Amino acid sequence: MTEGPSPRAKTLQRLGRMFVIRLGHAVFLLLAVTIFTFTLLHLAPGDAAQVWAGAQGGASAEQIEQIRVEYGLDRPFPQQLASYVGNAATGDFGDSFFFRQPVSELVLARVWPTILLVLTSLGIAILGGVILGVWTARRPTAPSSHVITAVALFGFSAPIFWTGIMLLLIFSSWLNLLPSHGMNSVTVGDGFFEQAWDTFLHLILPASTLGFFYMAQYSRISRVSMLEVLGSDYVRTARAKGLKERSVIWKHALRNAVIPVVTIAGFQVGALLSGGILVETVFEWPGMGRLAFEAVLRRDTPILMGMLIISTFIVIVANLLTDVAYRVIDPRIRFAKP
Amino acid sequence: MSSEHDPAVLIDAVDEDARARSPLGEAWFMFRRNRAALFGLILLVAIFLLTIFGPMLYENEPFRIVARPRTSPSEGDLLLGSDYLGRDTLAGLLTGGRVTLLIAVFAGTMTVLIGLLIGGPAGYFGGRVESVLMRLTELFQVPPAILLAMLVLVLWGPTVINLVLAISLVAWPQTARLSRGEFLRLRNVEFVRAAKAAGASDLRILTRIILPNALPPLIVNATLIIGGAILFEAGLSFLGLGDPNVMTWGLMLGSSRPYVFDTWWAVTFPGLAIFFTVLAISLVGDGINDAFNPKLRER
Repeated sequence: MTEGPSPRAKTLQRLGRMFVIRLGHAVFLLLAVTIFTFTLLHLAPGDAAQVWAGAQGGASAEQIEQIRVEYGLDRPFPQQLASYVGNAATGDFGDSFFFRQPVSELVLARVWPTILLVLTSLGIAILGGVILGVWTARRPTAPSSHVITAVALFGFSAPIFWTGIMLLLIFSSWLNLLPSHGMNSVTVGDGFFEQAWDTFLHLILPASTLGFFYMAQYSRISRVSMLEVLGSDYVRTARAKGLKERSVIWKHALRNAVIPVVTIAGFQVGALLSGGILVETVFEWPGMGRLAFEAVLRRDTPILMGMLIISTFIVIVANLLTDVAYRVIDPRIRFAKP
Repeated sequence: MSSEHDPAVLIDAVDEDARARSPLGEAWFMFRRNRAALFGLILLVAIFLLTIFGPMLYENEPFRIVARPRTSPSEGDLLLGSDYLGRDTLAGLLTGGRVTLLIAVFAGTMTVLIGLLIGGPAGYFGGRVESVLMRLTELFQVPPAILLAMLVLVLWGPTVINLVLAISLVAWPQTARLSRGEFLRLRNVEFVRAAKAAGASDLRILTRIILPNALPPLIVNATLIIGGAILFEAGLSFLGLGDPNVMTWGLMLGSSRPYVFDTWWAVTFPGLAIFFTVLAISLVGDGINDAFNPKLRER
C-alpha cells in the first residue's frame, strides 16, 4: 500500500478547487453584468442624468444637477463607470427618485416575498412534474399519459400572467374561495399562526400559477429521464431480485431520474424570477416584481438597474449552489475525472 | 442467390418511395403523418389568414370607441363585446394579431441570426474564440430576461422596433448555445474534414457546408423562439412596456387587466388568441423536429 491522501480527501480537494474556480468566474460575471448595465444607461438616448432621474420629469433642474455631481455624470465615462461599480460593490445602487429611498433598501424589503413565492412555486413544479413524469413514463401509451402530455403543452402555450388572471377570475371572483391580491388581508389578527395561514392562503394562487408553468416542463424532462433509467441494467437487477414494483420505481429509479430535473430547476432561477415578476403584478404580491412594475410606471431607472444587478447576483448564487449540489449528490459526477 | 434476397435490393424496394423525394419532400412526408403537427399547421395557417384578411373584411378601428364601455358579448352587436373604453375586442384581436405576429417573426429571425453569428464561430473555431464568445453569451443569459428587456425599453422607449430588439437581445443566448453545439459536432464530421483537406476556406466551410446541415435544429429552435416571443411581448405589454400606439394582443391584455372582474371577455379572448397561436407554433415545431429526426420520436 502506498501512503498518500485517501481517495475521499482527494475528491474533496478537487471539489474545493472547482468551487474556487467557479467562485472566481461568478465574481467576474457579476462585475461584467454591472458594467454592462451602467453602459446601457450611458448608451441610452438623452442626457444620462435626466434619464437616471426619470424621463417623466420626476426631478427638477436642481436635482438633476445634484445627480450629475453625486454620480459624477459630468466626468469622463470610465470614471463614472468606476464609481458606479465601486458603489454597487458596497451595495449602493443610488436612490430611487420616486420613493426617495436607497434602491438597495427598497429591493431588500421586497426580496423575501419574492423568494418565498419562487421557492414555493419551484417546490410545486418539481414535486408535481416528477410525479406526472413518472406516471407517464410507466404507462406511455395509456390515455392518462396523453392527457398529461397535452396539459403540459397547454401549460406552456399560455402567457403565464394570463393563466394567473384566469385563476383569479375562477377562484377569487366566481367561486370566492381565495384572496385575490396582496400577501396578507388587512383584517388579519396579530397571532403568528393566524398570519402564516393568511399568507399561505394568499400564496396558493400565485405559486400555483408560476408552478404550473414549470411543472409542464419538468414533467417532460422527468418523463424522458425516467424512461431512460427504467431501461437500465440496475433497474432490471432490482426487478430480478423480486423487489416490489413500487419500491423499484420510487426508491431505485426515481433517485437517478430526478437529478436532471433538480439540475435544470436550479439553473432556471432566473427564468422563475422573470415569471415571478409577471405573476406578482397580477396578484399584487409585494415582491420585487411588483417593485419592478412600479419602477416602470415611473420610469425609475435606478431601481431597474439595481434590481437587474441584484437579481443577477441571486441567479449566480443559485447556479453556483446547483453546480456544487449536483456534484455532491451524484457520485458519477463527483468521482469523474476532470 | 436470387436477387430478391439481396439486402441492397430489398432496401431499395422499401426506400423507393422515399428516394423519389428530395430531403425536404421526405420531411414533409413525415410531417404529414403526424396528426398533432398537421392540426397545428392548419390552426396556424387559419390564424395567419384571419390576421391578414380579417382586418380588411371587418373594418373596425381597434382604437376607436364604437360601443358603450363594457358591453358584454351577449348584450350588444359586437361579437366579442367591448372593453372598458368601449373599443371593439374583435377588431383588436384581428388587427392586433398582425402586429403581434410580425413582432414575433422579426424577433425570431433576428434571434436566430445573432445566435448563429455568435455560436457558429464559437463551435467551429473553439479555443480562445469560443471562450470569449461563450462568456459574452453567458453575460446575456444570466440576468433575468424580463428585467433586462424592461430596462432596455425604459431607456430607449417602448416602440415596436425596440420591442423586437429587446426580445432578440434576451433570447439569442439560447440559440447561440445550440448553434455552438451543432457547429462543434459538425466540424469533425468526415465531409467537413474532406472539404478542409480539399482546401476550402473557413468561410466557405461555415456557410456552405456546416450551416445547411445545422439548419434543421435551428429551424425548430426558431419556432420555439417565435412562440416564446409572442408570450414575452405579451408579458412586456402587460407590464406597460408595449407600444401604446400599436394594438397587440399583449396591449389588450395589459390595458384591460385592471377591469378584469367587470370585463372578463376583454381579457379572456386575447389570452386565448395567444394560447392557440403559441400552441399551434409548438405543435408545428415538434412536427418539424420529428420529421427531421424520426429516431427521437420514440421518446
